Amino acid sequence: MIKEPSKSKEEFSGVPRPLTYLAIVVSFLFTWSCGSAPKPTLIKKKAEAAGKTEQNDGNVQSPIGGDNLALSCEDASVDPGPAPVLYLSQEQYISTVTDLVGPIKALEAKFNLPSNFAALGEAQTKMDGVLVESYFAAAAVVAKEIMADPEKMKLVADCETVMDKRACLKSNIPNFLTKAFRNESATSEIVEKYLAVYDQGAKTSHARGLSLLLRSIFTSPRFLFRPEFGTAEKLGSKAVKLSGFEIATRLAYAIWDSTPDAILIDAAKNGKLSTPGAISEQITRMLATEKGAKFVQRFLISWSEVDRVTTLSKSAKIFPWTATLANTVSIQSSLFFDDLVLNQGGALSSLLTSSKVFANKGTNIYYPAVTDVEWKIIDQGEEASGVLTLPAFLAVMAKEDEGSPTYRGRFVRENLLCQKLPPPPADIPDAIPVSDTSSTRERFLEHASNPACSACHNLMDPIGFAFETFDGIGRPRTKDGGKPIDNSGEMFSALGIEGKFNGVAALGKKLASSTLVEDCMTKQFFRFVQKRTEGAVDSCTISKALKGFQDSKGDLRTLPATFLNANTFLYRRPINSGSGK
Amino acid sequence: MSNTSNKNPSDMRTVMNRRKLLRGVSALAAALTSPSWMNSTAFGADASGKGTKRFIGLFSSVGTVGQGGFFPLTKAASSPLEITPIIKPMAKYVDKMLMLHGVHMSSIGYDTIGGPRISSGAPHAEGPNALFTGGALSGGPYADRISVDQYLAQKLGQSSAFPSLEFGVQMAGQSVLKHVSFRGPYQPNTAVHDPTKMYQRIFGGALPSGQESTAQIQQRLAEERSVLDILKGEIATLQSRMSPDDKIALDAHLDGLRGIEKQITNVPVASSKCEPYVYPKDVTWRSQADMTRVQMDLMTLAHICGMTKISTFMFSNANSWSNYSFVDPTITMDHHALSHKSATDPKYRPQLINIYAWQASQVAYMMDRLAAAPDPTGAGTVLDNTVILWGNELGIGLDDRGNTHSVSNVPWLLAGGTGGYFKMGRYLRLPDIAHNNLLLSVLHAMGLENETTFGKPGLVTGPIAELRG
Repeated sequence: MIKEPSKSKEEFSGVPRPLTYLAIVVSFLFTWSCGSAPKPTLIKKKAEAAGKTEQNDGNVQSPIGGDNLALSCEDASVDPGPAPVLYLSQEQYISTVTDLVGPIKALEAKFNLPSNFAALGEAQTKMDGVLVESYFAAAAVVAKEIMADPEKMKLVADCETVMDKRACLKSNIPNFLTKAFRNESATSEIVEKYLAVYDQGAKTSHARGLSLLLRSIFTSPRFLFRPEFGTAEKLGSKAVKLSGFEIATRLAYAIWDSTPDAILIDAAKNGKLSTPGAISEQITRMLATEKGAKFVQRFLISWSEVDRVTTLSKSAKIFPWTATLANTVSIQSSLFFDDLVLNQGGALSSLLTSSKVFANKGTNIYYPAVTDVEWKIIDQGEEASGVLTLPAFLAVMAKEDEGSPTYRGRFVRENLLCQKLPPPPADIPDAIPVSDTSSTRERFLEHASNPACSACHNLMDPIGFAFETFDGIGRPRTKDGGKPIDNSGEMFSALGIEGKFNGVAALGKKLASSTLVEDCMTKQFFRFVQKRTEGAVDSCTISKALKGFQDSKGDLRTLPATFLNANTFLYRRPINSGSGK
Repeated sequence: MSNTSNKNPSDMRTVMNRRKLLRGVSALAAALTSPSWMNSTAFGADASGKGTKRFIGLFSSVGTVGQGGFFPLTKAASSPLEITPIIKPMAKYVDKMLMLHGVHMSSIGYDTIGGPRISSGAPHAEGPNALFTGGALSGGPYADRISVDQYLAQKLGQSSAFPSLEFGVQMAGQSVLKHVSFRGPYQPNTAVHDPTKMYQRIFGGALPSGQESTAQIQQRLAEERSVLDILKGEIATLQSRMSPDDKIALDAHLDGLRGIEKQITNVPVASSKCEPYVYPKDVTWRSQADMTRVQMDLMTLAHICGMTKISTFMFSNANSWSNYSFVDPTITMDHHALSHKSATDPKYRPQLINIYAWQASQVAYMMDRLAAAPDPTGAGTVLDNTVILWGNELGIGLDDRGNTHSVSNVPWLLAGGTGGYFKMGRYLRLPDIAHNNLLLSVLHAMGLENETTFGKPGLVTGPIAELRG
């Protein structure tokens, strides 16, 4: 089952691999092939941005924890891995504009496509003409709104009441360009380029000139992309230091999903982001801001996939599902994650086993006893098991008309154990229709009886059956298809936690006790911070982080700072080494 | 196991924003009386009187019923086209249709000509990426080479406001299922499925009529150009320091800007039938029929108004989950699920045929609109000079069963007048050839007769001579 993907040759051959290194960090790249091997092209879906590059599929598993850390992970061998140029996603474009000039109305409507890239190591989709047009249209709106609001205009350049407007712009605009382009742009060459666009419009009027200038800024590749060139300062042969502005930009988009603030810009300008200590201070400050303090929650919402809950469609015949309910259970999830971080020590074990549940009037189809308008915390005992029993989570991991043991089991397999399964084959039989006389378990057992299905489904469905006490929108239930629920489950192919169990609470405890889960959650944070899946070159970074995570007794709150302070984040490969991919 | 995991969240909007569309309509009405547009119509006429060649690529998904459904039963190598149940809605255009049997998507690399079906593979993913490229997937979710529409756009579309336009209907699912148009390897063009956005793209940039003098228009164009110029310059500056792969990422931005430049500066050459579009009442997002109709309208209008000469249209994403019960109330499952049923089953066969026949009725509607518009050059109608190529992500299979998820015997239909290039009105059973030859033939029909190959090397033996008679 274990094989090295042929696409990642460089990842392997380029890394010095002393024996000690290999023996201790057992970090195999592997693909579950379940039986019949799928076509590799489909498994590659995560490699979109890179197109056909060396980026691996994220099928990394280290079945052994990081207890022994006598690694040859010294600085000289640092390889920060690939870092393809990124462009601002729709969300980042909006948050960036908002941070620069304040909120702009109706900006979302200008985008033809959802351009958000999934948080966990998913690469960006390809830019194309339609998307460029979207940014172009959005910039026109931004320009118009800035010009309509004197306060916004002042943030760009306070020149509207000045007689010689061009001279004023010339002395004021460099400051704004530095912020907007996240780089030192006061060089007269760049400023003159943008002022030339102003001049073209100013032939008609100052306002026309200003409008063109603003549109140019907000569609500039310096604004839309986050190019990185690094500095001449090397660390070993595979890493160069990033410039202060590049570090500031990486930090800001990683921690805030937005542009650097004034403090970061100043620090970058004044060369104060050149030592690990200074950077570390900024990281601490940023994580303590309102937005930064939600880092772990932002991660959890994305990792648990509960952010999809407001877009689900459910069968109206079967479930009382409404947009209001979707919104309510979405809030409930956020409350749980907030509480986990603030009051439960950010513990991985609480994430998976907590019996605390937030309930109010809006959730009373789940918890009939609670009728208050205000949210309150109730203890659900064995009925609740952290994220695994959140209604939003259970509704996402379900089909339109019933809960899905497959999706629920797949979540455990992929998101908690980091064991990536191949996508379903092309020729699959129809699902057995939902009926009143058969249970979900009975319908899904078809997978086990059909050898074409069972190889993969045995890795998912038997785990998912433990969730059978919850229906397709996460309501507790005791009967299905007229029969009492059987919530017995079984875990295969997961070292240390294999075997039979009953119910979600038992599953949660099993997972909470597993080093596989600690290892996987560490990797998931890596993906979230680095916006790519891990490869062999990242073994040192991940092992160190895992060690720290275990030392903290599984405190998720330690992971952001760990990865943000890691060499992988603070360095990049030199350009033109064929590694800028 | 269902395919719901592939789906995007469904669109929560239900009713289209008509007000916004109406604004767009008035912009078009205004544009049609603006000096730049009217002049272009007058001066844009091609003195050769040959007509403006156009290409429309149509994409359907999940295969169809072969013998007796799409294909006639005859085994003759060449016969006058018999109207089969699926193409019945297009019957009046029998003289403008050419149906091809025996043309396979060999570039996918399995299910090879004459051989057994080798792999269970991923035909739903391979099909859309191979159909118009003559290529395949390799190492990513996008085709490994340029598609025929984009090749034509590069050669013939550069004088248009839009070198090409890509339309879709209710597109969902993974990237690998959603594109048939590629500017080059791994460079997909998004098939836009939101008609309001598409309308705004195509017609929203029209200049208000009568409010500006020619000098003012010139100034506006100079201004727009100054924005584009600085951005292009900035891209080049950044690219000079980037790695090759990052350069490619910025090239996509540059391509987009060049597209915008064309929209601003290229003057449309419109047919006299370029009229403001009246939106149908009460169209809904969830309705496949409504979305298909509106997108068809916009695509034909874009051609008629001279905004483009090249377009593609996807009836759905590949591996379609559309439920066609609006076509046939006896249909109880989505199109993909239905496509797995036996094409000889008396219950499912008519359902599968009805779905494709409905799509054929939409093609007939499109042809009606193109036939009603005089070519801007005065040479016949727009339809007379158009090459329509209708294909499918899957073939019927060498055994013609139609539900084998094969890439052999794609149900190809050429339609339109093709400028007199192909001899239409026939059904050809060709001797197992790669569809690369067909794509090459299309290039020739579009006037690129010096081309010698298209798609994956080694598969082309030349344009298909039989198409010409």
